[in-house]
Amino acid sequence: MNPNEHEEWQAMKIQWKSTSVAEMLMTQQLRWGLRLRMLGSWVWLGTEIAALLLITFLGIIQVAMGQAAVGSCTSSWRWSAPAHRGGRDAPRCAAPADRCSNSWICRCGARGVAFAWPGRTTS
Amino acid sequence: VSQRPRFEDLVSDYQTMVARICASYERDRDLARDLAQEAWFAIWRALPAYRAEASLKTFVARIAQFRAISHVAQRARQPQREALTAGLVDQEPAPESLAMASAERGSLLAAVQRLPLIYRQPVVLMLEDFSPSEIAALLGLNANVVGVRLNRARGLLRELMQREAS
Repeated sequence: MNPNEHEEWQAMKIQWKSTSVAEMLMTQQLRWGLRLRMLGSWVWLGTEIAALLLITFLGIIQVAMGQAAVGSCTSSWRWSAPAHRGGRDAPRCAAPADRCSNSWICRCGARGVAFAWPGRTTS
Repeated sequence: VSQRPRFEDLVSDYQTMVARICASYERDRDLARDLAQEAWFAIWRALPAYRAEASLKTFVARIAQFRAISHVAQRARQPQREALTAGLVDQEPAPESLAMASAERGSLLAAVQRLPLIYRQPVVLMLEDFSPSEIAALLGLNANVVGVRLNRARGLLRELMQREAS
């Protein structure tokens, strides 16, 4: 890069970074929305786990009452759904975040549980 | 072993950068705000997988860029709508007064928004202080290609800003 080009870029960078009121307004407002979405994601994950445990519990009760087929079907159905989802998203979640791809964000981003599990990401 | 950065610290450090990246891909202020929120949400979700193989700034900028590109692609697929702003009262300060306060920067932003996508990506990152080699790594391009695109984009930017000023 020659000195003229460098100077031109420097001038544009200064212009670019001059703080704008509109931007500050935007960032203050988005913080609240972001907090709500983060909270919503955890609530969604909590609900998923609670549903999983509850249906497993119901399955166990049904087995205990002698309805082994119904009980095992109920439990296995509820466990197979997240297992299927996990198996599908795992290869994407296993990629290092620094090299994460657009599709990875889109696919996992559509399901709060995929990223809300910190332990699921392995390199 | 590197410690995982706190999300709140990331927001404090890079909120203006993410806002500028989003604003360069979306002209509508409300949609740009939504896009910034989407980008931060994606960053929050991806944060547990951060391995410190690149700087935090690169990590944040990369996700913000990806979200912005996805947003542009989604918008391109949607049918165009007419804005129904005539009878609506905006509770926020008038956009004109905000725009007047940063007229100079606005002209650069407007010029960046008009750049073709292949030039806009490296230009936004260059203006955010990434080096050409970092931009090449971030966009998965050859360093020479980035250099050529930046050079062409600089000429286009100059032309667009001059046209706007006259």
